[in-house]
Amino acid sequence: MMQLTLIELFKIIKRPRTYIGFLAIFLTVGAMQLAMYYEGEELISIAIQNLENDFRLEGKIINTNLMTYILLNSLIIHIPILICLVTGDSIAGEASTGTLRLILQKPYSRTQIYLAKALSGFIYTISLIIFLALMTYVLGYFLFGSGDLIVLRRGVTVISSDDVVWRFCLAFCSGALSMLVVASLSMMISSFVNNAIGPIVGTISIIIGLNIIFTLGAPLFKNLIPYIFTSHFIKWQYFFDFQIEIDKLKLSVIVQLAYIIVFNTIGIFHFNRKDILS
Amino acid sequence: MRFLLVLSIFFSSFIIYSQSESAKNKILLVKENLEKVPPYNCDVKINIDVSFINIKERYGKMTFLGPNDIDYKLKGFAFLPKKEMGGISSDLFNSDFIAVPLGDENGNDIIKVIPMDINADIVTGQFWINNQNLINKMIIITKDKGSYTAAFTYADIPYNIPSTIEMTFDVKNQKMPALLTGDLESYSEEIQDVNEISKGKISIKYFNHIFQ
Repeated sequence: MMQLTLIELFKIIKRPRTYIGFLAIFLTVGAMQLAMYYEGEELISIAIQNLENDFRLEGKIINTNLMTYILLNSLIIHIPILICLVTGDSIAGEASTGTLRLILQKPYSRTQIYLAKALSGFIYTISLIIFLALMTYVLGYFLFGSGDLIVLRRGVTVISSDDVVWRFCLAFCSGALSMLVVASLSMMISSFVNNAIGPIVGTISIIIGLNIIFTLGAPLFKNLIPYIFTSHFIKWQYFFDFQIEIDKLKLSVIVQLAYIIVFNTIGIFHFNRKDILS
Repeated sequence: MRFLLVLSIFFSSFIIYSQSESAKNKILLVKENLEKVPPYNCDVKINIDVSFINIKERYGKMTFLGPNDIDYKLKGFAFLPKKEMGGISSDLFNSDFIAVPLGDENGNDIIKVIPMDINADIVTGQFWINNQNLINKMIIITKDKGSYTAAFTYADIPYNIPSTIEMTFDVKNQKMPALLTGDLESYSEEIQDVNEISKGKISIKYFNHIFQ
């Protein structure tokens, strides 16, 4: 199993599209940080203009912590696209090129092959999140320095700079878990189709569709929202609350783990019964 | 009969005038005390109690160079009153004003101060002044920034500088746009009345004064 996973990882490393994600994060984070460096004060003052009417704000608002917090919001749409580029291609891509038939001739079960592909996809996903974390924090630190984090969520929460590191660590873990759900979904769709475009477009369509439906139609689907996986993409924000709602976070972890298991089980089930005709 | 009426009007206006003069003199004594304070710096501890703001106690240093020239160096980020209370009262006392005595309360003279300038930002101020000519409490009504109430506590600090100022003021509920904050969950929450005005409180403790 270990060997299979390493082989799959080797394939991922060899594929040029793997680096699109890292390059996109590098460019996006770089551009965003530079834009904030030059225009940040104006942009932030739009968000806090009401506060400035009532208070004198003392201290540096734009710093690496705020930049990391803002860029973590890219987990909602942007990072899932980059993840699908690789995980969506892992089975369907090989099916379209005809190498899948070749792999299945090896003395490994289809379940083992699927799991190895899923594991290597998960490792890619986690490495993308770690790269995002390092890029946002390190580049932000050099450009803006450290400082207290101001979170404009359900009012205003100010978190001391010495109290944010553990929150970011857990937030990135939560974000990584959400992205593993995306990887599992695209892997599952990948096992159903024979071209690489299908899982990428399919996964992104599902994510965008669910986001739109459950954001705009929130009051209508109020009771359903906690069980829809896209609603957990922003649960990392809970780690920046003054009073962290542990129960909601536990539920979020359980729901997301359930989705990972369900998506992969469906994927394995279908992959085991799939006719490889290409 | 007419003579008595004229006489009573004359005396009553004299009494009112003399009461206004004594109130004005008291205010001028307060102003004199405020002006005697030399530049200094001290440590500060700031607590904020506003319904939509979550922030822990802040520490730092304050440098006082004049009522309108106060500089804070704080550890981290903090919310401070829009205007210093010393600065507000100084602005009020430095312009032409009318002082109206309103009686006394717990040993404090209550004096209402009305600026003569119709365009002044401060509409009126009411001061509770003790027998040492120190302001214990004041309420300031501004033209467009609501009202401020400040309660002062004094310890044994030279020049009778307050050791604590507790400031209460009107504050509008804040609702940031979700697309700006990334808080997409707020769409599903009950929409609060954004125009609702609540009371906010900032408490500042001053200690370890060093006078220049």
